[in-house]
Amino acid sequence: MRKHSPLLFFLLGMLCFLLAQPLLRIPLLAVLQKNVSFSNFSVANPVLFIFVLSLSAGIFEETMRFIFRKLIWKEEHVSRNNAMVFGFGHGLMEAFLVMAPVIMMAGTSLALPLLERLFAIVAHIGLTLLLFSFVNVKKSMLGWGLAVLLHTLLNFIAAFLLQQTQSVFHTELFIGIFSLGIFTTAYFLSYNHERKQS
Amino acid sequence: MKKWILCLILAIFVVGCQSTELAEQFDQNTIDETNEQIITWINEENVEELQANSSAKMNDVLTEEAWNQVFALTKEAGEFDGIIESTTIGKNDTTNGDYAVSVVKAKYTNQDIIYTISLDQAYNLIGLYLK
Repeated sequence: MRKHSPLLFFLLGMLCFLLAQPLLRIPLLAVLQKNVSFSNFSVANPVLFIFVLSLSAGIFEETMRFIFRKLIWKEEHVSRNNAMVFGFGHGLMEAFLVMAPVIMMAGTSLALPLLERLFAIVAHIGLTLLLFSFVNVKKSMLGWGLAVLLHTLLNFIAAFLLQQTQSVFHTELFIGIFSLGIFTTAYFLSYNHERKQS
Repeated sequence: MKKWILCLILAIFVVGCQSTELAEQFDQNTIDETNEQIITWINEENVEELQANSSAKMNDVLTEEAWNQVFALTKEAGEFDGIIESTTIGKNDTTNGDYAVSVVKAKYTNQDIIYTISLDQAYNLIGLYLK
């Protein structure tokens, strides 16, 4: 398979999520949750706890994306389309793993979880585009930092909103607007980077 | 940009860090004894005592069927072997006023269980979470 084949980007995007979450972050959190101090922290500071969880998701997923980008395509230029395909694979794998238990629950409405996953895929495409595009213009660390920040904010504000308002509608609305915002910003940034390079 | 990120993190810490001091009407020894008693009743599957020592709201949620699901979890963990570690903090909200939340690590033969037990000022059970 060629190094710049879209299928390879798609498959590696899927593998990237598998490594970052089910194989690394989730087992680590499971170990931590067996610790009394960690459980106590989650009870004593629920808002801070949500922030720590959101930050850890941002760090694990974006760092893994960064490692894949740097290890496989090194200093080579990665096209906008391929970056988006990688993000699509990443988001689709997450959607599959999140949705599988929901689908198995008979009688549960699938409309809202599907919509939420759709927005999450848009966010993953945007975050990958942002990160890959900054690596293209040799500003890797800035790209990584921005991706971690946006990923953390998306997760944290959504969970915080849900905890405070108990409103699924408002939370979904936020996820939708923020995800589209990430995608649009990343697209235009990447467009500008490519224009400056050519 | 860096200033904005720093401000954001500080704001989250200010909002996130709440007072966790136990209200003075609570006695730590009584809390520890009550926690141990609740865990004993769970191990004995004594629904009657558990319901008699829970708040009305808790009993609405934790029906006998729900208690059976709790018992299934403890059964899977094996024989109870004692409490390893426990910490308690104080919390306050408009529904319950001042209340105590304890995180208790209990040893069982197959696996440890972490109980999060909430007690109101009359030492009635108002919240329970197991993992």
